[in-house]
Amino acid sequence: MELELKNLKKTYGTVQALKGVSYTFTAGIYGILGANGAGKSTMINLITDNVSRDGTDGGEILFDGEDILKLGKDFRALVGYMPQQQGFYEDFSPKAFLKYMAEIKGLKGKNNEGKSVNEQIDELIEVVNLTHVAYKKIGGFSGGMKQRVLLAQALLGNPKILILDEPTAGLDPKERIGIRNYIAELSKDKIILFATHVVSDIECIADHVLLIKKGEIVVTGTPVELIEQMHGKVAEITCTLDDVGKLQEQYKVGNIRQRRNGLALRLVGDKLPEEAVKVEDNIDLEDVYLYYFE
Amino acid sequence: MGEAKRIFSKKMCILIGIAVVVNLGLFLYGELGGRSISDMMFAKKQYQELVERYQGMEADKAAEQVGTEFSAVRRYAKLLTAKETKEQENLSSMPGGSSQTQISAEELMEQSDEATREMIKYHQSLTEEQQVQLELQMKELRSKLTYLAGYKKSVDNVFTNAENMKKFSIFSKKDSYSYSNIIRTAKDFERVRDVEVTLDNDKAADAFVHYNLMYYIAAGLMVVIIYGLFDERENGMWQIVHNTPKGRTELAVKRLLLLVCGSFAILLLLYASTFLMSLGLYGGFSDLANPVQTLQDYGKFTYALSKGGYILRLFFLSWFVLCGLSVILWALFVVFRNRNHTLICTAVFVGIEILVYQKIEIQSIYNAFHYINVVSFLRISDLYSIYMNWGFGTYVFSVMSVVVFSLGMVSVLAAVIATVRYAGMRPETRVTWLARAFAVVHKQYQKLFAKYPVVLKEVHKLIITGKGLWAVVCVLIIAVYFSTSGQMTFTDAQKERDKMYLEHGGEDYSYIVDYVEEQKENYRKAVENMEAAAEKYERGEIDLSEYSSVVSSVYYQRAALSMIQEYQEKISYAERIKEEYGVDIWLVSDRGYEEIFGQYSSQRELILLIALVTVVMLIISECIAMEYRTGMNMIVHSAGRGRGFFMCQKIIACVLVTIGLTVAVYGIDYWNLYKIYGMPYLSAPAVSLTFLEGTSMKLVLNTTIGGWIAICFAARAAVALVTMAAAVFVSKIIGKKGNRSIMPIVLVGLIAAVCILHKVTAVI
Repeated sequence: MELELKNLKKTYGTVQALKGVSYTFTAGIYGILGANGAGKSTMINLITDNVSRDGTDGGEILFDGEDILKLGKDFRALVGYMPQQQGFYEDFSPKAFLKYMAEIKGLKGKNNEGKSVNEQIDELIEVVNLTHVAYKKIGGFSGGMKQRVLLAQALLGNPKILILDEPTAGLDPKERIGIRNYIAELSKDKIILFATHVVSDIECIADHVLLIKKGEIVVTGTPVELIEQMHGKVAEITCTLDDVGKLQEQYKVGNIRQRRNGLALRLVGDKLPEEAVKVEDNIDLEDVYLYYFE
Repeated sequence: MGEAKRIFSKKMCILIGIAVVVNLGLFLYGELGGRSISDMMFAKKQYQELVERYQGMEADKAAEQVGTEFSAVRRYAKLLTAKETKEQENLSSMPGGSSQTQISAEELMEQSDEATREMIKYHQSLTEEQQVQLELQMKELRSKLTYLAGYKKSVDNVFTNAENMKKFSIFSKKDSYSYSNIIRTAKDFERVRDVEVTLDNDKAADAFVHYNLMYYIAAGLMVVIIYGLFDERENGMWQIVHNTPKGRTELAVKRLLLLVCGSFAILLLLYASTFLMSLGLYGGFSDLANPVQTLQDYGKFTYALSKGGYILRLFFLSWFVLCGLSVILWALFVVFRNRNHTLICTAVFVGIEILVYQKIEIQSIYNAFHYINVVSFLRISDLYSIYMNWGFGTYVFSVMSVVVFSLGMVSVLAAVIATVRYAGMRPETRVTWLARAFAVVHKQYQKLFAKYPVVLKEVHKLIITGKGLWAVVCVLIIAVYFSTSGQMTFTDAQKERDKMYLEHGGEDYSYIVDYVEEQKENYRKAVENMEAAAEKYERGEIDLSEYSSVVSSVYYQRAALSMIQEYQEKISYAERIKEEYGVDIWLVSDRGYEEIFGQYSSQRELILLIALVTVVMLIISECIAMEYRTGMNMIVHSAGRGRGFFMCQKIIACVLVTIGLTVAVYGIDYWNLYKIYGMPYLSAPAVSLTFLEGTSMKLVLNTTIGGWIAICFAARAAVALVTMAAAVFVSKIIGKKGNRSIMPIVLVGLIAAVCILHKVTAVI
């Protein structure tokens, strides 16, 4: 199973949102990191065919060697998509909504596990912890509950390609961990694209990470590889509150922690102050993000 | 100020503007009463001229004169009509036939005074339709003059009766209610003892004070405003607002003031515009200074006010009622947390009130429920004009004062409770019993709803999610209103003829043919007898009384002959159609069908079709736009069957909703018309209805009356479906471009097309 992006381009008016992106996705979880306007949503919209390509110059998206536009609904039947923007019919209950989406997705009869559509829906409602409100109007839900309904509809039909845009937004830490773990379990035979700003979500479960900046993939690799690349580029320095502003102007500053003897600033970059102490062990993806995006 | 700006947004102002226009349209429609505008203006002009003609006379003398002239013009017209009928032409060849008729018409002119002759000549100079209008105005004026002539006496009778009744033992107990009521009545009428009523041009004031729809429209607008005041309970702002320094008591007081001022402004707009329109239509501005008792229904009004003064006082009274009801409704919304639940409960309550108002008679011992009733409050002019007292012991109160007092007390109490409750009600609190009750019902519905197929869920989205239900309710109210108002009234003679058609008409109308021949034969024999009697009278064989009796029978037979003229015309029509087209028609009354789809149905049909087109556009234009508005477009578009199949289901749902609305609107229309006029002989050839001759003859000749109705329905359904298609196109543009202004533009175009089609075709 392979989803290949070949020289993917997209222009909105005079703005080039994607500049010839090429990448191949296979089974596993892919964390997609990027600032707002980097091109993440454009890439996702092109994969889900919610946005048209730039004619013949727009590149190709191939699934197992075939263009997804030619595959049409056969490809879309394999996709589960959870957009960033919460979209609902507010007077539907989760049960009614998932039933509706099941029909739109063309789910019929029983799946490979011998479960009927209703059983799949009931199972998903339980997974996202909404059994107690299965027949209540979605309009009355909190943001986190709405997010869980959205996730459930994306998981409906056991899609081969799961595209999740900010799936953990609005969830409490416990829910976040639960969803992350559930997604990790699914990834064995799926391509999961996980776009987020919450770096810690990707760090735990992503097999690969893509960093997108200004329409291009700036770096890609496993979390371990990306972190290893940061050796010698992360340091900590202790200073007073008055020095923070000056340091922020000169270097990329990550976390600021309070210590007994002042403030400990985490600095990221190729050039670091001599008095800063290099960090060897505790480098994480957040440092990687800072390095490439700040 | 910020709250006022939020509520009276651009959208709200547009809605108020539309309400004012609709109100004026409804007022005009009511005044037209099935006539064309030119007929109405002619009638108005006639009335004004008649008023000027009789204004200088004493009311009783004027009433008598009008009565005389009215009888004379009708009799003269009948005589002329009888003279022009074929039968009369035939009879004119018979001895004594024509000469008898000519003398009668001339004699009538000779016998009449100059004023009556003038009126007859004027009446004859008009077209048939204008003659009808003139006669109606004369009839109305006669009734008015009779009332004016008797007013003073009726007021004096109150005092006389009061004195007389005090003498009867059952009324003369001084501590009894009956006695107190007698005294009170006399005291109240003392205020109008010296009121002098004269004939004047009071149509403007009369039409205005009898028009109640504007109060319903004002109340509807206030419901929309109150609903908007509670946006915060659903858009997440409640927590924020409740947490601000001025977000509790101060905000509640501001909203109360907003209701008071808002109701004033809205009512003033509707009230003033309607009154100005009435004055524009009928004139009579200077006559506003005359006593309100000159209006026929105000004989029992016991305040010495001019018409202008009454209208001004009525405004402030109406405002008081509107304000009071608005405050009470606002208080209900405050107390019951969920505004939709409150609205539903209010609608149910108003439905019960309407039922109670209609079912409880004013003479009933329970008439308190009739008067202290939302419907009664909104018909404040009717309530204010009647004279009725309640009470116990020596305490006597007018119904009006009880209504005003009770409404005032309840609204003040409601305002206080609501203000206190609003300030203290926390956004996050336990669910109320009402919300729990609704939740139980809703849960059961959702269980059922989850099982619906996609197409029914799409229908649900159009009606419920897209809030199309409001539009559906509005169009059904319009259908009920327009199909039950402006009914034709038939004379007794017409009703008799309709009975004949029902019993002996239809496919085999030989009975009617025989009946006509019999009447003609009877008349012929009566004329023969009269001639023979004339000869005998000349010879002295019979005396005058015997001769007169024979002559009378001729007049009687002549009158009977004029009654069957309609049958003769129908039979001639049947023979002509048979000769020209080879079709055997049935003998069917045109009357009811003329109202259902003939010349008298034009306005109603146009209004219903425009309403249907508007509602279809409003509802269906959400079908695709909603997906973008809710953010579902991306999810659905990326799903396996989220394109062709999804669109198919949507289109089917749109078709179902459109056809459903068409069936509902015309179902209500036809059902009400069927109840009022009946729809006999539906299987008769459509060409049996004489007014359909010349209308799409190919269709008319090849279908039945029922088939014609079906064709008209199909044509309107086609118009609705075309509108649906346009609305789907509009919805796509709204969704993709976010530009809503295209919808009203397309709607106006469609309405213009409907008006043109209505004019040029017979089926739309």
